[in-house]
Amino acid sequence: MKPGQTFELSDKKIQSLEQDGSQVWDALGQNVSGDEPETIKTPPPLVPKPPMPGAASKTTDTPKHQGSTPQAPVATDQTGQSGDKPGGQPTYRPANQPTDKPTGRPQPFIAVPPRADTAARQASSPSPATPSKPNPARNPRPSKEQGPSKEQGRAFAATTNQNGGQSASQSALLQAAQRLNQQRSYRWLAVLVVTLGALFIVLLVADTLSGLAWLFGFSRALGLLASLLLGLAVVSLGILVSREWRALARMSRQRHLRQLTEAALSEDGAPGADDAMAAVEASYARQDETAWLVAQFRELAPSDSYSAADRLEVFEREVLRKLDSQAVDIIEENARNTAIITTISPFALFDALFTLWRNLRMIRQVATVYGVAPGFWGSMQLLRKVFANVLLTGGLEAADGALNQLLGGSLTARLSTKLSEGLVNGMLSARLGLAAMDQCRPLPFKHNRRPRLSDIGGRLVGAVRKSIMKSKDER
Amino acid sequence: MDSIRPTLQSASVLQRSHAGVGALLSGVRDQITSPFSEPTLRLGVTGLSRSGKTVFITSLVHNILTARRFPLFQASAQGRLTAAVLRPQPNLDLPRFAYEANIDGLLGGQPVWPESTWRLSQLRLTISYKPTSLLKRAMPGPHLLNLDLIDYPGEWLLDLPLLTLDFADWSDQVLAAAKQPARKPYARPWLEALGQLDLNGDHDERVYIELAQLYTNYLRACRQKNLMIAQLQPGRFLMPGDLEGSPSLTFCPVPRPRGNLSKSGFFATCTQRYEAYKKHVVRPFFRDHFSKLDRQIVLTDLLGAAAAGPAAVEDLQAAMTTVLQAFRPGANSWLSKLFRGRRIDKMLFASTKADHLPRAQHDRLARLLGELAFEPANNARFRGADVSFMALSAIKSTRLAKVREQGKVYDCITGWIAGQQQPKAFYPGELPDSLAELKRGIDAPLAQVRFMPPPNLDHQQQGLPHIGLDRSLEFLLGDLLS
Repeated sequence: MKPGQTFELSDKKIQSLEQDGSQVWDALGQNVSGDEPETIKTPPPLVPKPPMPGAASKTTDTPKHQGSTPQAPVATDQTGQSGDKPGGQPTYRPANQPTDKPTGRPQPFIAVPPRADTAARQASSPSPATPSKPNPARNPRPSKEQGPSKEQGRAFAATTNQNGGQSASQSALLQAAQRLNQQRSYRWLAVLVVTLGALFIVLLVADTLSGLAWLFGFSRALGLLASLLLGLAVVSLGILVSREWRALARMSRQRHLRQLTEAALSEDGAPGADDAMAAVEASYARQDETAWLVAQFRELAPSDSYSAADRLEVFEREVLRKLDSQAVDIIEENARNTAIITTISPFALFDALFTLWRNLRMIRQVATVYGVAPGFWGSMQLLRKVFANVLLTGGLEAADGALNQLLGGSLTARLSTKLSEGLVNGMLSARLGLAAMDQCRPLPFKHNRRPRLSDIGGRLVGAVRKSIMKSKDER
Repeated sequence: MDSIRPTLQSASVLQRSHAGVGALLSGVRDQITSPFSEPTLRLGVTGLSRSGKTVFITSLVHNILTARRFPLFQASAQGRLTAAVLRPQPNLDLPRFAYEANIDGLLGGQPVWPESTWRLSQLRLTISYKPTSLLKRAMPGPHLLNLDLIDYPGEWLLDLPLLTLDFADWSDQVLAAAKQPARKPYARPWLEALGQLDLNGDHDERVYIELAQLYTNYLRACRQKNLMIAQLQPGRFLMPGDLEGSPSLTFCPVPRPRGNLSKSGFFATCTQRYEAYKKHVVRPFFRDHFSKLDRQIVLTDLLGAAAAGPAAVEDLQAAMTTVLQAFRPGANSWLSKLFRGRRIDKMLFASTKADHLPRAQHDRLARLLGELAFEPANNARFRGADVSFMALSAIKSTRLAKVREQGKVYDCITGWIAGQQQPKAFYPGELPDSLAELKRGIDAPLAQVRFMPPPNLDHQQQGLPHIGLDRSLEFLLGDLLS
């Protein structure tokens, strides 16, 4: 095409006009948007195919990358990674981590210079990379286990870098060796678990069928009833499974989104901002709860006026700000409830159960705010990650001062042990909630301020004190 | 080309006119009264003719008054801009900027761009905002910021180098340039008339008028072709303002005469008029309007130059370098304000008409501008000013479209091309990656057409669509509204 060429808007060659919400042209009644009203930059929906048991050599992420543009550096990196592993064992590497970074792998323990306690820690610590139980939901997805959280890797990267002066290449070698070792031993464990599971299912089916046959022999009506019940059970199971499946897909999509955005925001002018923005936009436009926010956002920052990096900024400032404040509200409310219930409840067991239930609910709610809506397994997965996050970053965050502020000073003098227990519980809830927020957010915190434990903690103390005072007054 | 770049003296000429006891006193007065008076920002909108100054000011004012389409302008995005109003301007002897007429023209039934500016005008926009800084919040409100804007014909900017040149030197430069092959065809009538002139003849005003007219025609032709724009001097010949026909605009460059000349000869008279022009036109213009700027945005029509060819790009670069020598960038502190007068502490270089290019190329456009303005930008940075480059379209008159042809997808822009009834898609071509390539000439040169503002530009009453206006305001005003 030559510069200066012009086309009539009715020309069939025109594929689409970018919608910028202002609809200047459409206001004249001229439909110029062609056949597709959608922005054609929208990538195909990122629906991962959940891997089948046994076919574990493909990570869930490979099909998604094929869906996105092939020249994206992320995609080539990933496929290249999964291709050259011995035995096709899946590895799950966060896209934005350079391959030469030794601490990028989530098996960071061996990077610690050999010390007396290292071996013990290594032995006792449950490595996040290992499917340890014959768990039917975890087992078919070994790839998921490999990439639990970068935060873990980072947290330990920080500590290891501080502790040891080991050179990068050395630890990388060590890591590779360790990885190979682990992969060998766990591969056969996985095979064992899968075969046992399959055997169990086969036996179950056979047993059910023979039971049915026997029932039919006994009485036709009973047999019909039983098969009806069985059918219903199978259907409901199918629905449950598909729902879980979709929820897991949503979560993995969100993780993928996060990887894209983190890569795009890692530096000024980093590539991939276009893909990341398109993916984020598509994902949130698809959900009813956030569609209007996205529509507003598109009008505010149309894609033909703002660069993708700028739009990511606007998205965080305009759309995520609202979601963030919703999430913080949920977290605060939950922390307050937990603290108060723990303070006034007479039974320790009740506290524990209540706290657990509330926290699970909170995590689900926070995830739902960000459009993840996890199913049961998703919640468990999230809970595990959140706990890992809290445990790993908790030590560092102790310097946050919130707890010190709570436990020291004149306030403590007047607090009963029960009240301080309640506050600690509330703080734990708040921390869990913030970690969940971190996990579910499609973008890393960059332009919005990350809500801090001390913010919530300060208000928590006030709220709890007020409610206690009130109850005292009533008495 | 080097010869026409003025030396650094030009800056000092202005400084000399500004410095001295009076300036020091006024600096002291400003310093003492500033905490009690409303803070005022003099924003210098600098740009050669047709770089979009008027449109920029119009869109800026309209969008701040409505304040809705600024997601990257933090004060607006965070809802801290409470209101903005147009208030009486400080200089009572200047015409008011015709904001209402311009915006009516843009939003009317037959939308048109504002007419080209032919004289100075001024506008004061007062912004009321909620500050974020603790110190300001402790002060009783309302917190106001006056934004003083000045519009003027871009042609006048190019007069600055004249301040350091005497008539004979200037004439030599102009004549040398006029004899270059690209410009010669346009200069021929004037040069021929000059050749037949009897330099020592009796004074006949008609000769002056005729020659000045021929010279003006030559300048006009050059401007039309985007040739030699750094040397379209004197600027008032092209845009006389209210001086049309006065003797200080009735002269032209004359070859340096050999031997002795009578004092009443053609050369001597032209010299006199040239000096008068410098004294009464150029110097006051810069002294009154450019020596006290706080912030500056330099608008550049790089796209137009790129479409016109390598020579135009060279000329644009020369013109920018020349013009920007007049300004005094540098970091401000209260002490330096007292003793040196104000400095421009933030400079934004913007390549306008970015809506004539698909968004994917905007980064490249800004990068090319960075290369083009490297010298003045570097100078400003060296003196401590903040410098930034971006692609800007104060009013976005087009939209993006994808056109598939022979299996490839091209980014096109659609809009109302001037003189056509229906919107059309238009393929502008690709910018090269570097300035060197642009100067060498590219195989498939960039095409440019004039897009008219689309109808119903502000149909939702949410401000005019734009590209990058909020980002540039954040850079220019953001810290003052915090």
